[in-house]
Amino acid sequence: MNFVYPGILFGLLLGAIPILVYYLMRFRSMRVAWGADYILERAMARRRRKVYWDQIILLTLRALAVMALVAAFARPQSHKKQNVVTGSSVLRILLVDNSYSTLAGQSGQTVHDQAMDAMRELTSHWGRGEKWSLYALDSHPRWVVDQARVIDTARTLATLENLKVEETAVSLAAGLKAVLSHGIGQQREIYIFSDDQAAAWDGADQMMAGKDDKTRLFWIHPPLADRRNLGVTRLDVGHESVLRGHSFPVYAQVANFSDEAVRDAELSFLVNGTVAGSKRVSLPPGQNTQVAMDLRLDETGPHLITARLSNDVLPFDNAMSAGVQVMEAVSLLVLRDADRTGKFDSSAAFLKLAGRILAGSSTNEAAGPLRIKEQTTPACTLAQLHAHDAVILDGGRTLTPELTATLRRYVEEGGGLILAVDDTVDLPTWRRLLTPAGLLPASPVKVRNEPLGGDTCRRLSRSGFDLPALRNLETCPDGDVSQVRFYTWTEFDNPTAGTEVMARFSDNTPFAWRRRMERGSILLLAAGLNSRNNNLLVRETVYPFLVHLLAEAASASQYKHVLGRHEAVRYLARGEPPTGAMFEMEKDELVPAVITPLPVGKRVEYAPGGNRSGPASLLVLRENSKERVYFGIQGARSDSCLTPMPATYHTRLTETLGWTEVGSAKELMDALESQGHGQEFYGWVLLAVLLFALGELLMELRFV
Amino acid sequence: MAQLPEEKLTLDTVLPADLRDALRQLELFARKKVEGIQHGAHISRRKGVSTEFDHHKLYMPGDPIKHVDWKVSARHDDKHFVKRYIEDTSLAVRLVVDCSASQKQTTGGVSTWQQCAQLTACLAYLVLRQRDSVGMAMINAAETVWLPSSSTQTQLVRVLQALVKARASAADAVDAALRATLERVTRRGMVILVSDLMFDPAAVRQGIRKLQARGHEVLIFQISDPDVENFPFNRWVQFESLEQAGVRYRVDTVPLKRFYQEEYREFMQDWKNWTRKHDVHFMTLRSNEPVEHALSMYLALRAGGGRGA
Repeated sequence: MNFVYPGILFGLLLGAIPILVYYLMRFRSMRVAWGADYILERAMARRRRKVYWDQIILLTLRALAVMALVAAFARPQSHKKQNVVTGSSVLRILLVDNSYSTLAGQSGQTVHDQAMDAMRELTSHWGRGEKWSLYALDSHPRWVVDQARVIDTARTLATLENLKVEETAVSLAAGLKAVLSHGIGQQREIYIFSDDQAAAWDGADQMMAGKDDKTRLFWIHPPLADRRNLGVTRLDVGHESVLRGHSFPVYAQVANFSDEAVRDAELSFLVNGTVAGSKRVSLPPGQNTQVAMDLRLDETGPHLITARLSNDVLPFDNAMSAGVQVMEAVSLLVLRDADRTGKFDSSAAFLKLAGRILAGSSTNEAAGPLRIKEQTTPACTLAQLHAHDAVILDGGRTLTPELTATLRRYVEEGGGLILAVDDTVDLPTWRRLLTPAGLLPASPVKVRNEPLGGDTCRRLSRSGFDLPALRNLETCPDGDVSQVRFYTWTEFDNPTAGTEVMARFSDNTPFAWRRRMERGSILLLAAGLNSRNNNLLVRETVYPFLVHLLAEAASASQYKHVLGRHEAVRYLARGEPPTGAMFEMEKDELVPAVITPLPVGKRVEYAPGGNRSGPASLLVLRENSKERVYFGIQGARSDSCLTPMPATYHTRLTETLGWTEVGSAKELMDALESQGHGQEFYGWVLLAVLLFALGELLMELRFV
Repeated sequence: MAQLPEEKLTLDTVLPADLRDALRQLELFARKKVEGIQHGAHISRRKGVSTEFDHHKLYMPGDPIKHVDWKVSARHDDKHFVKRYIEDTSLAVRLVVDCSASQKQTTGGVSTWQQCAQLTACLAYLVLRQRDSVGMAMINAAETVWLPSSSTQTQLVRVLQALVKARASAADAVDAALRATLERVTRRGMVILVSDLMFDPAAVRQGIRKLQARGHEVLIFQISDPDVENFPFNRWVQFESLEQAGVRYRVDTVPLKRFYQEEYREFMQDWKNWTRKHDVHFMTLRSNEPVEHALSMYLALRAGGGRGA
């Protein structure tokens, strides 16, 4: 046997009190002059022995009674948890909904806050040694406390305060099933702290197993007057990497999760915490929309983009973040045949020209967003390839197996490969070498060559862009690509698995495919980027399109700036190797990240990822500098809909579960008081008092 | 030792006027034939001058001729009979008063000794008012006060003065008092013992039996103290003996109470059984009861043939 409060056992010394009182009373005896000592002597002589033993027995009984009281207050327990000697027989179970929907509320008092108030009030009325359990409903529903004894209220409250609200879809049905099957046969009081979210209560009316006459249920759900809730469900940035000084689109997906229309909600876009622009959003009930905003960043390096709605009833889903890397320029390596030296023969000449035009200068090539370098195939090494953000395989006939193998390794290690299929391409060789290497996203069928300036040509489509960065070109007057005509193009067929179409011709046939391969990607263009068989050179509106396309290809080597919940962070460090890394989510503590050495640079991983949506950052430590890169952790808004359960369903639940519904701590205490809460028998107290009373009664019966 | 208040008895407190008035209507008659030296209202075992005929006897020479019953003698040819009458005589009452220290037991401001003295005075007054003689032996282990019998009115004053002067002290010596009475009193009379009876009864009972054998009628008035009877204690008490100096008993009275009360009841019942068996009137008088009431009740019972309490 052990004791809940062993310190109280020192009180067993109080058992000496009756003995001390005995001698004290004997010492302080009253003096009486007595004439009938003849009778007194006779009485004492005849009963002396009996009186002596009665005194011993009585003293022992009294001492034992006091010691029993002390031991009772020390709360003896048997070694087996279930076989508790003393204490209340009522098992109190708290079922707590820790989903983000409980953060809804007005004037700073959320449903969660009110539930916590009710829990504090409830537990403050529990006595020491009372039995209780706590089942937390979050992303990992579990028993936080399993039939424990209340030691002190502060410790119980600390346990409750440690519960963290998570962005997750909880199931009250599963929670009810767990708590109703817990402690069956015992007298139970089950307190459900949850909102009336319809999705959370789905299927709860079927969870009746374990509900018996000894079980009382209380549902504490503070009322919610306003249920209009907008949420940002996704934030897309044009590229993982964008060019400095060039506008890029940001798309925020906004949904109305309520049954009422919302008008003129303000959606702000923030760059590194500073508002860069805002728009108004109006949405009918249950609908969603995409809001685009063009941003331009003038500083290179990592940035954090956030879309934030004005606060409504549920604040947690009003913001979504994403990271972006701003580059000074895109470094491109053009691999061409050695014999293609004409002014319009290769992509390099055209792209250099385009770069100068984009820089606003016709002479300073270095000032433009494109840094072009040429290399004649097949004489190039992997190191030469890795020196550039992307490599353009500019058609050609001199593709060799060695070059193919080098390109494959380049892509696998995070390189971006652009396959520009022009009229010079040796299709059989490409098929023979690139297809087995997995470098062809689709199978080329044939090359079409039409007379320049003729009626037969392919035009780029202004719609149907799958690449987010290109979507603003659908409406932007400066980016009207529909006037671009290609008189030479290649028809492709049978795209391989995982291949996605980035841009299309006007007849809806694909112009650009992308296929991710290991850590890199391959961009396949159905026409060449030289200006020999098209009008690229004279259509300046195509330059933003090309820049986005090339920047996307160059982003292949970039780490992901948007992560799913619980997705590991991966960051490929280039240049000076990092000595350490720390991962941080908003308001969370820094967590050391793992550095994994790789052949090229080092990769930093933070395996657990974030467990909720929000901004995160990775602090990469180096000998001489630090680098902070930003991520946006995004996930489905599974807990944003505050629609209450239907009235009929509510009625059915009430009839089935027979619970008592309350809305606040005061109502809960009133309900408990009206139902006789706290009047349970405390067997140990009763036993001790009865023992004491029995001793006194025995004394009275025997000697009075 | 616990200090008891010194008793201040006076003639007025021992026998106040109102008490005398209350006793005026009471009479104490002997139940047995007594031997007095004076003519009185009590039946004597001697035959003599009286109006109450007893029997006839043959005339013997020397009998007074005037006592011959000629009518009865005429019915017998050669015999003469004389009438014999029962002689009325006075009653001699001997009061044996226990003045041991146990009589100092006090409850409610009234001690057993006070009640004892008052009862003794009442009895003396009652006897003397009937012109009977009364004597008193007041005794304890240390002191004996002996008042010879007398029927004069000054005897009452002597009795009262003796009671006022006396102090309850020392141990019991009732058996000695009874022995002295037996030795000194030759004529049959009445012996009234007034005591709390808190002593070993064997010797006293023996003395009473001897008195009865001499033809004395014996009455016992027990003066009872309520505390002694009820034992109203519920804590540790140090009892200090009134009769034996330095003797103390430290007792937890809670467990002892029941035993004491049982012992007391047995003791008193034993006295009652013994007195009933030996034709001794036994009367218990509590120290907080009015003497006249108890006395009148006893005399009424006695007149009706009862035996007292």
